[in-house]
Order: sequence, then C-alpha cells, then structure tokens
Amino acid sequence: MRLYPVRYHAAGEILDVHREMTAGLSWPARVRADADLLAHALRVRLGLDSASTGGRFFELAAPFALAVTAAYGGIHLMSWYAGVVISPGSTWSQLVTTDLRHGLNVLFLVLMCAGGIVALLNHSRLGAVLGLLGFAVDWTISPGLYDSPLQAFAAVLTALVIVACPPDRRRRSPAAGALAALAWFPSALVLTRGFVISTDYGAWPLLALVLTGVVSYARSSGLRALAAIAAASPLFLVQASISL
Amino acid sequence: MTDRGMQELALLLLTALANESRHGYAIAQEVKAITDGRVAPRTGALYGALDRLLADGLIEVEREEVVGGRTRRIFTLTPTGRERLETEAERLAATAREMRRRLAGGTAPAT
Repeated sequence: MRLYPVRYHAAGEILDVHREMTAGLSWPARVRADADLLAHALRVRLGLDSASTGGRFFELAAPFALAVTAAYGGIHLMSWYAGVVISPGSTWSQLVTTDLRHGLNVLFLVLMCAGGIVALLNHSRLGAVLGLLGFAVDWTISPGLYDSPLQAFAAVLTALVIVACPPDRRRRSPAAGALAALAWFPSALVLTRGFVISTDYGAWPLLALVLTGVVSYARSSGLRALAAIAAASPLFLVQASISL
Repeated sequence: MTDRGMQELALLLLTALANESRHGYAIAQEVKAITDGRVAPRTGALYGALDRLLADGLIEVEREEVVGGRTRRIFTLTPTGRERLETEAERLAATAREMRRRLAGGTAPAT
C-alpha cells in the first residue's frame, strides 16, 4: 500500500478488494495476484497507468519501439547470415564452429526479431524485451562484438519504452508493422546483393522511421506521434551514427 | 477512447455495470460470472481499467459507502458510457448476425 502515491486515494479500497479476491488462492496464484497489484502501484506512482498522460504516450510509442526492435534484429541477423554465406568455408562448418559469444549474440538478435514480430501481433512482449536486455547485457560480456556502448544503452531505452506501455493499452499498429517491413526489406536486399545501390550505413532504417513519423503527423496524431516515434528511435539512431 | 473496438476487459466492466451500480469486488465477481470464469480480473488490472473508464468519462462514482469501517466506492455507468456500450453491443450483434448468415450459406453483401 505504501507503494501507491499519497495522491492516489483509492489505495485502501484496492487493498481491501485485493484481500477479498486473493482469499483461498493457492500460493502461485497469490504470487501472480500480488505481482499484478505491485505492477499497478508502480505504474500509478510513475504516472504510467493507463489513465495517465504517460500511459497514453507509451501506448503510441510502444508499437514503434517493437517495430524498431524487430527490424534491427532482422537487419543484423541478415548481415550475420550474409557473412556466413559469403565466406569461402562451407556454411555448415561455420555454423557448427560458431563460438559461444557469437552464438549468444545471434540468439539475442533472433529474440529481438521474432519477439518483436510476435509482440507486434499483440501477443507476448516477453521475447522482445528479453532479446533487448540480453543484447545489452551481452555488450558487457563481449564488447568486442559491438561497435559502440551506445547500442546497449539504446537497447535498454527501447525495452523501457515497450514495458512502460500499460497492459490494457497494448494494441496492434499497422503503421508500426509497415515501418518494420520498410526498414528491413531494402537492407535485406542490399545484404543479399539483390540491390545495386548500397544503403549499408544505417541511414535507410532511420529514413523509414522519419517517413513513418511524417505520415503519422499528417494523419492528425500531431506532435505526440512525433514524440512517440522519437522515443522508439534510439537503436536506429545509434546504428546510423556508428555507420557515418 | 478511440473508435476502435474496446478492449475486452473494459467492455466487460461496462457490461457488469449496465443493470446495477457495483463496488470493485462485486464488479470482478460479475465479470467472472458473465464469462463463466474465463475472465477473472486481478486487482491491479481491474482498478487500472476502472481508473481509465473514470478518466474517459464512461463510468463515475455514484457514492461511497462504509462497510466494516472500510470505505468503498460504488461505480455506475454515465450516459456516455451507456451510449458507448449500446454502440458496442450493436457492433457485436451485427458481426454475429453476419457470421450466422454466412455460416448458413449466404453470399457476401455488396459493398
């Protein structure tokens, strides 16, 4: 109850209802119910509950953060796979001799890509968030595999944007899905040498993000839409700055 | 709230309040009964959704009552909430009618 801010007058009532609703529950169910209450109290304290301005803002930003996560994971996976295929050794021998550090890196990229797509379809966000946090932690273990510590920072920021969206405000966003496809597809063409003009400098995904922001702005979501896109942009921004 | 279909929990909360004003625990029990136990909202999710419906002006606090030394709020639908629920009911009924028509072999309506 102390977790709820003083301004939130319903805390006592909520606690009474919680006692009634959890009476007689098994301990695993009780733990889940307590965790749900804890999450609600934290959201109210941080101004991220679904009735607050913060909650409404992250409702807009989270789908784009998921799209960026999926596209970022997809582009880097494609880059890794293209490297394996282009190398003179057999693909299989390279895959089986991949060391643990590279293996972990690829695992987190897969989680980011697949988890991002799953979450964009309004299912669990766990995979995407685990992928992003794993990606960030992996930087501390194998910094040599990364171009900049800012990548880890951007991954954590992106995970926070996703988690900050209140559960009852999660939704599908066709615009975010289009952004992921728009950012990933030309990069995939370049990496597979199917596209004559190189955009292998992180600029294309950033352009796709800017385009999505302009379209969202024009479709009347206004400045909040632009701010939401900005909140989703750290991974692409860092990638573009590294490549310049 | 936007014109998109409402989230299921929000819709169920409005449904639970359609015929009677209720307090938080009674709303949760009613939602469980309406859905045959399929949806059993936890406290945080329940009050998160109630706060949102209050902020959106779809429900309001009708009164506060003290039971056993504890204060609890009794929620009720606002006219806007009732109107919104009627719109959602009509939308769902239209979808159900179309489902039944097509299952019976009807052709797609001209658009």
